[in-house]
Amino acid sequence: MDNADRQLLIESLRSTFASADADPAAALDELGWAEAQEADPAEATTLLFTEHGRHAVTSSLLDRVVLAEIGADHADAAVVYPPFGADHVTDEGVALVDPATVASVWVQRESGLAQLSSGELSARPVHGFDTARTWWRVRVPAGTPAATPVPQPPPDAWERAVAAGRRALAAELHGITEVLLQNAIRHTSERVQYGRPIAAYQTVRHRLVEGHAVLEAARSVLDSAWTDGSPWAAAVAKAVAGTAYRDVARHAMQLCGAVGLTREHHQHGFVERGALLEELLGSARHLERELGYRLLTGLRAPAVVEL
Amino acid sequence: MTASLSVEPADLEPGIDLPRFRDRFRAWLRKHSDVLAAWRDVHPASLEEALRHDAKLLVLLWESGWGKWGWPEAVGGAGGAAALRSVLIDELWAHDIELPHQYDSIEILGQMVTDLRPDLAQRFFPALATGRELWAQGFSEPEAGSDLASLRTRATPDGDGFRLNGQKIWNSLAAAGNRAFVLARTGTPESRHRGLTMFFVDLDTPGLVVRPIALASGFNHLAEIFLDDVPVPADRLIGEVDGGWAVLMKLMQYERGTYAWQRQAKLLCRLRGLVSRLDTDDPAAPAEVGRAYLRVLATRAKTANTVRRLDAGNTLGPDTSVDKVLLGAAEHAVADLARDLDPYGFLLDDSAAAAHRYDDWWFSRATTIFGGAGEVQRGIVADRVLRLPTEKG
Ligand SMILES: Cc1cc2nc3c(=O)[nH]c(=O)nc-3n(C[C@H](O)[C@H](O)[C@H](O)COP(=O)(O)OP(=O)(O)OC[C@H]3O[C@@H](n4cnc5c(N)ncnc54)[C@H](O)[C@@H]3O)c2cc1C
Repeated sequence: MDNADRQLLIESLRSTFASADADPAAALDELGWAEAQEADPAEATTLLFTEHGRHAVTSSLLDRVVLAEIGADHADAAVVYPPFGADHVTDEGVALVDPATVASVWVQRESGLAQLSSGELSARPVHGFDTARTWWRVRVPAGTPAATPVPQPPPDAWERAVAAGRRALAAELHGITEVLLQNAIRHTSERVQYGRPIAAYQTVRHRLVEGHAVLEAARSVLDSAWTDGSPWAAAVAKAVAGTAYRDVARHAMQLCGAVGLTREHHQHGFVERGALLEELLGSARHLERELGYRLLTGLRAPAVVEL
Repeated sequence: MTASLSVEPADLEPGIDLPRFRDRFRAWLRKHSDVLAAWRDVHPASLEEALRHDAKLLVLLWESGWGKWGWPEAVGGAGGAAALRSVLIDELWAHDIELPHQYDSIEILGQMVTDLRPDLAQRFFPALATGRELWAQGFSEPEAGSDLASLRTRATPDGDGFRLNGQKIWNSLAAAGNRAFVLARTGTPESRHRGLTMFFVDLDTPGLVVRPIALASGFNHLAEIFLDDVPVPADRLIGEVDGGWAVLMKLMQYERGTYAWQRQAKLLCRLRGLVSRLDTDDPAAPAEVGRAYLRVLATRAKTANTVRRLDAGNTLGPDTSVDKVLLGAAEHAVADLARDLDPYGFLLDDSAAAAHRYDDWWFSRATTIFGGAGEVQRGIVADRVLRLPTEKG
């Protein structure tokens, strides 16, 4: 993608995500997003989800990414993700859309990936911590009938789907983290206390720099995860993105002072949405433990990045 | 005469790309694993002994041709992208081969002389590359550490050349070194960074005395250099008179960029060694190992970009200080992990291997001090990348 194309895409993504009423997924179809995606999946996905994050919107776009890896059509299906902290659905999961609006859902159960008829599921909308956006808590009782006909996804479908989802979520977290960092930079550069802008104080400057450094690193790691393509590298990218979000959010909330903790400031929306995306498909805390465990049990630490 | 006779020469096509170079070098490393075992898991008793042993590997790499790739033919190299060298360094560590200590000097100062004084590089670089010579950096002074622009070593014109008077300190590898970059004041005492000039000084010049300084580990990583009316001929300037700061800034992009790449490769090697040795049921261990690993990979990904940008001929700006910030965190994380996950084995051991582990640990602390302390790097990023209001308000 050359610079002009990239700029054009970013502009159109911005206007898509800025118009709150339209379903971004439908708008993207009109934009001809599928072609951009096909031409350069790494860059298109990263642009799309970073912009998604920058606007702190919700959509079913992540489902598309996941369903594409499973080989399922996204038109009439959705994904029920494992509840935060788990790697499969036992009797409850999380969805981005109301399962009642689609014919079937895909869900990773202990026994493997399953396509279930959505008619039997009960789901309720929840805002929770992410106050302005809707999530769905979905009950998936044992014995929920499978959808018919049942296509057989390849045995590694869920692993690949998780990897693709993690790469997308990493980009979305980068977008959120960037907004939080830029906010904090603007606020501390403009706000004067004791006769100087707050950002002239060294501890403040250093926190902002640390935020910038982890975000830059996270972006480089995500690019490498695309080149590498493995589920391991995707987990690394998600973990580093999650850590960057956590660090920057902590600094940003401190440095914006009282106003940043109110409904009158837009910071809270990014903090909130980031907290949920950080947990979806594995938090930094969860992933670093998992990766560390694999290293301690004999896996030679993958280099992930090559020149 | 040399061990190089015992290995296959590098037989590569001009213009070879990085992935193919990596594959071929890996195959070579595997093929000669027995010869290369001499540099795996070695624990010399002193830095001087390590340097002598490392020099043999430099000769092996140079004479087999691998070490020449990425250096211009004008300085004795085989040509090709400079980033080939970063691949070679990475692969040595990835095969648990201790990178020769001389590489710090080769990659930073060898590159500088090649860039700025190809004539001097033609004369001296092959000796540096094969460990017959070692070059050091003489910038810091007892009273000019972080605030380097306040340095006071003077260079006074003397005929065609200059005479140097003053003192340098904390000079890596200078105790065993042959030549050094020396930054000295040619302007007025108040001229700060505008009145500095970089010289390439022979350490055996009369009037010059080097005294080794041991790091806390006991290894003589450092030295101080006393300069008493030391003559330096005019053809030993690097850059312009009063243009020393620009030379230093150029040098810093290698120190903060390619050198950081080299360090992360070592950290990945050390992390692999550590977890393979470790037998722990500490429930906190997986998270700590994972966290350290992620810090190394974050540094690796960012510095890989830097190496690629340098290779594409870009001048790197203050952004390389970000690499150094990331590296510092990774260095501390890996070194502390080695200590924390096996405190008994780590802290109570008098073996030669332990001496090197202690050296690694102390050196990890130094990486957030040399080349600009962590706080100074953050200040650079704050001012020049994020463009925050300056500390003076
Ligand atoms: C292993 C090692 C190798 C080295 N190799 C070389 C070499 O080859 N050549 C060479 O010339 N020098 C070398 N140095 C010296 C190094 O560049 C200096 O140590 C460094 O610039 C810091 O100077 P200083 O030690 O005098 O510390 P100071 O300048 O006295 O600073 C002490 C501490 O104060 C803090 N500090 C300083 N300034 C600020 C600030 N503006 N804001 C906030 N905090 C601050 C930092 O934490 C810093 O670590 C080496 C040092 C080490 C440890």
